[in-house]
Amino acid sequence: MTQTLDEFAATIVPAQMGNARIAIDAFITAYNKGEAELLDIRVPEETAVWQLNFGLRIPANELPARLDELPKDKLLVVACPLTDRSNMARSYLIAQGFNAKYLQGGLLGLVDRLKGVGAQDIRLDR
Amino acid sequence: MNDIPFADYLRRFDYDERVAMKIQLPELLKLYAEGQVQLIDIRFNEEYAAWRLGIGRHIPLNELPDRLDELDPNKTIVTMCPHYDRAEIARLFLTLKGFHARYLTDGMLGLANHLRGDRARDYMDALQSDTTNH
Repeated sequence: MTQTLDEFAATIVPAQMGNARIAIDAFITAYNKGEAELLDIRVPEETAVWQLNFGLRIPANELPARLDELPKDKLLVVACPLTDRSNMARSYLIAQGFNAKYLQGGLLGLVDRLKGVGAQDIRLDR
Repeated sequence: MNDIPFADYLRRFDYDERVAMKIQLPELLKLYAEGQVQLIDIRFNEEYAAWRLGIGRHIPLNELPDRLDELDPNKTIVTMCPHYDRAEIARLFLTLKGFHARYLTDGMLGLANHLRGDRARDYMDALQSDTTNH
């Protein structure tokens, strides 16, 4: 199901943008069901500052060499601190045939959501 | 170390203390790199399980009274939580226990927001090159 970049470009219209991204709560629900995997594409110096204790960690610039580490049977939710890099990485993964969306609100939005009692909403034992 | 009676602390509380009890990110990052600060994440265990900083130590707020021996009385203890409300409770407790403590006004979310991209690289590289303090 590899999509060429030409085909991908044809989907960049307002009606399709909802398919490009996923909201934080929708991600948490899909993750807890085992239907989605998180992909943190920050550089190593950023993950050294702080780490999520779930999901995959592959820097964006290493993705081309490490595609075999990505699940094909799950929605890949690509995330960076905000959404600029994750959107680019998501486009790349789509062109490589993966089912991928970028995380709306970014990792900063996610850790804000996981504060206090909210931290119990993510299933770490999934 | 000597405990400070809460009432005495309040009687002495003035404009200077109102400023001194807080620390902002730029000063924190500088003092931490210089080895003058012990960083304490006081969030609940479930929060720490979800994500954590690569620097500092985790002591949940409700375990702090029983784990004071893990704190370095020769350093400034900087408490932090996602924002700053619980960090301020921890800061006050530690101050009354005789520690020099401040709370991070920007919170852990502010720190995560600040140290991204090139700023994360530059700061972590600087810490790496000067490991004597850590």
